[in-house]
Amino acid sequence: MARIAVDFGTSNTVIARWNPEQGKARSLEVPAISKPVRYRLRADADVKTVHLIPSLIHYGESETLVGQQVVDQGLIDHRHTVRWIKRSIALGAGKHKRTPQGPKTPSEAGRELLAILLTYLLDEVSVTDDEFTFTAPVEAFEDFQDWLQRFAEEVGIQRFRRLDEATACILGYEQAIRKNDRFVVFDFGCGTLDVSAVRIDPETTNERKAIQLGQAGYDVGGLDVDVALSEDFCRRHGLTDAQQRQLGPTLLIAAEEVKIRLSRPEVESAEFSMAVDTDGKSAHHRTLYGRRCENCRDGKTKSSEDRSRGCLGCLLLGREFLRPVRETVDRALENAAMKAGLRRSEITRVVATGGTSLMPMVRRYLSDTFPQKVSFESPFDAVVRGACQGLVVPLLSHDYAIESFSSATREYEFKSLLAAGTEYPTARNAVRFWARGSYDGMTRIGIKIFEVSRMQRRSLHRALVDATGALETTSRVATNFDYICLNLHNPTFIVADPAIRVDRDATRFPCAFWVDEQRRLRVSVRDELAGRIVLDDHPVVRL
Amino acid sequence: MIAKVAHGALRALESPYAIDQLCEEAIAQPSGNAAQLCREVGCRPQDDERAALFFLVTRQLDSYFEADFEFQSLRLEYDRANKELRQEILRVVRSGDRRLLGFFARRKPLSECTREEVDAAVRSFVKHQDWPRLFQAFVDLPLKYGLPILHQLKKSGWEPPEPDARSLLRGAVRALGDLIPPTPKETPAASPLFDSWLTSGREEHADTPVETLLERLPQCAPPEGVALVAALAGRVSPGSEAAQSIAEHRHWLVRLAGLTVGIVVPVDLNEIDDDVDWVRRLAPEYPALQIPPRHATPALLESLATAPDSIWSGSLGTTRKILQALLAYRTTAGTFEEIVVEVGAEDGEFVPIIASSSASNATAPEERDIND
Repeated sequence: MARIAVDFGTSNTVIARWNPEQGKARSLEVPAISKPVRYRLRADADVKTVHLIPSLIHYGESETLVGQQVVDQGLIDHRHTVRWIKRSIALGAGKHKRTPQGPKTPSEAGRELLAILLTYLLDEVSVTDDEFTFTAPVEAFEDFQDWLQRFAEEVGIQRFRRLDEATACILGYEQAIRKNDRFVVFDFGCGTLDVSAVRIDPETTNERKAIQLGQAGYDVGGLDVDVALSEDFCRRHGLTDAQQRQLGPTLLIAAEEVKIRLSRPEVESAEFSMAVDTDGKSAHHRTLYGRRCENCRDGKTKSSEDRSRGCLGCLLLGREFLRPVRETVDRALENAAMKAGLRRSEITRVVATGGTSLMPMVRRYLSDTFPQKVSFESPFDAVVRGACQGLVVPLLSHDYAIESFSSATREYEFKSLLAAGTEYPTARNAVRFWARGSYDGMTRIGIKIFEVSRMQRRSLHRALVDATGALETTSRVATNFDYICLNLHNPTFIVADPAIRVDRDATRFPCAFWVDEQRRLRVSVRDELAGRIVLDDHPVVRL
Repeated sequence: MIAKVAHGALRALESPYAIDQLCEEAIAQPSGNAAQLCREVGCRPQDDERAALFFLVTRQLDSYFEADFEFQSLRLEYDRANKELRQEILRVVRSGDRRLLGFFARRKPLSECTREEVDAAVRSFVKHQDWPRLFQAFVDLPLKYGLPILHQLKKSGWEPPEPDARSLLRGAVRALGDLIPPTPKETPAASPLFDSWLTSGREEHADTPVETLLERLPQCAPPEGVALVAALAGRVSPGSEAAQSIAEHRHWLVRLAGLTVGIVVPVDLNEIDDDVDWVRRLAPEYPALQIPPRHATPALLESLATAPDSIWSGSLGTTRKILQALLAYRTTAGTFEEIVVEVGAEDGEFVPIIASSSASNATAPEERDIND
């Protein structure tokens, strides 16, 4: 069983797999669907690679393209492409988009996108055997968790977990979280900036462990930098609207490339170049953009018409790129101060996520505002790393049961083994059972362990029109129990030699179960008839 | 000039072996000249599984879906392929064609396949000498398929490495002899109306708890009863109390539904024993040959163990002996009862029940003869 984490983002999705030997999470590559992003935080640091999957799905007549396939075929802005899916789901937007494959809501598009990604990864992950953790926004946890729950059921994920994004992001940076630590999560992605101040309650058995103290957001992101760069480039080279339309998304892709290169500490300048058709002749336009110049370093901007040289720092300073960033952080902290009395000095750590937080200008701002408190080493995969790792609280988060055959009803039933909230490691003989054969001549008694999943579904109960004519709806929560076998493919057997005689062997096999430090269920079984131990502290399954 | 002559010669190939070799070259290099030539000429490998792979990697997707619409052949080829070929298959499958998404869907287990699909899979396993899978098919499929498979396993001389599985196969092969079992007739369709009741039950009561279904069953009218039984299929075990109540239901249509969906499986009977002629005529024939081994329960084994001696004779008797061994192999569920420690007034402390001394290795059960 592997641990898989899925961070379904508004712009990009990251799927990662936990490597227990290395204690690290690795983002998974889906050839032609994901794009590798390489970055380093310091000039002398190792290059890190993260595989991002653009959260895009395009519905064609006979094909469904996802991720980088949509980008590569220039279909990002196509009317049959669905994007910004996560935000639409979190906001509860249910508007259909007409596509050749029928109308698609954001929920449907999101489910199909994630299902295709997981199916494309089936040579690396197993929906039946692996444990999946999906992250969900703190502020839309309930809405989003219903959606995730339905998705998990549809694709047949057996071991399904959720974790709020703030907690996952913090766990991606911090190994140990103490109760009442205060964090600021600075999530600066492609199209949005979200800043939230949170308190973590690691001891809650709830999957949402972060408590929102204050939050603020603004529609600004890396895409704005790309747009600024491409507009500046077009202005310098006098490209007409028709030429810009002709270049289409390649202009923005080139601008993004320049931005990414200038975010690397060792790169001082990067060339923006485009081949443009003018009156049937192809002309090659180039501008070398520097990261900063003397002017912007002093807080001044210098406008230049020079086609060959430009400065990203001046450009962003001129467009007051940092102003909404500053205001959003201030607003989030003001909200936290009003709601929970949080003072800046009480902030334990600021954790940055999202590719735009890598921009030197943004990093400088954060370091100046929160000296010695900012972590931005893993902006692309902090959330999945944290989600993979999970919160190490020595409490069982599920109920567990053992399959047993009832001689009264002649039917299989589940006997409770361990309850959610049980602290581990447990005592050596925490649970004790007699294992009995179910028919004469039986030579193996299987120990099958099941995780009891409480599935809470919120369903629309009734919809009425109230006195004012408005639609009034109520929903109810129904709890179902689902039993998932944890050791179907590697069961543990108690070998009966000599074979079972039901009337003789009622008290032949005493079993003692316990849970060790690694959350492994272990069992010891003695054969009283033969006078020997048949299983000695044998690991049955990891809970 | 030489290339032109070679090209002409290859276009004119008639020998099936030579065409197969050309197609193999195309599979190895799907964007090479051989693949292009194959597409132009319209040739394909003789073997169906290889043809499915060939059509896929050479991007002849319409031909591929005509040959292998449920991915059965392609999946077998994928399992046998080396790393490079697997990547090539995945490259095509990930290209975005909607029809190809099914490749990654849950694999239909053999127990859910039609007779034609089972036969094709078994032929493939035999051809590729994939004995472990053939043995798994024997363990998973009803004996109407399992007995011919057993003949193939007997011929192969292969044995599974696990002691329990080996013991099962040896015993079954010994019992098999030259057995030619009766072939059950395809069950005649009862009626479209009966089938619609079954379908409605599966759909409408999928989330209804078993207890509720069983509570409603005794008093209901036949259409509802048939629907309830359909909803209970797979949720109650053959041989259980619930199955017994269906077998003894006052409405013959409910009893027929129980037999049809496999809840009521009288493995100890040669023929269905029911007062109503329709039940006898419409229920699946020879239950011992029809029951999927995954439905094994201790209750079914018990019904065989307590059956009269007369049921063990003849070809059906031998079939039952093999079935009994198979069900015993599949039935490993024990009964677990919590240990209750009663503390007496004199007791000062609990004595641990498990001594942590000399653990012995788990030993394999002795091989037993099915005929014993």
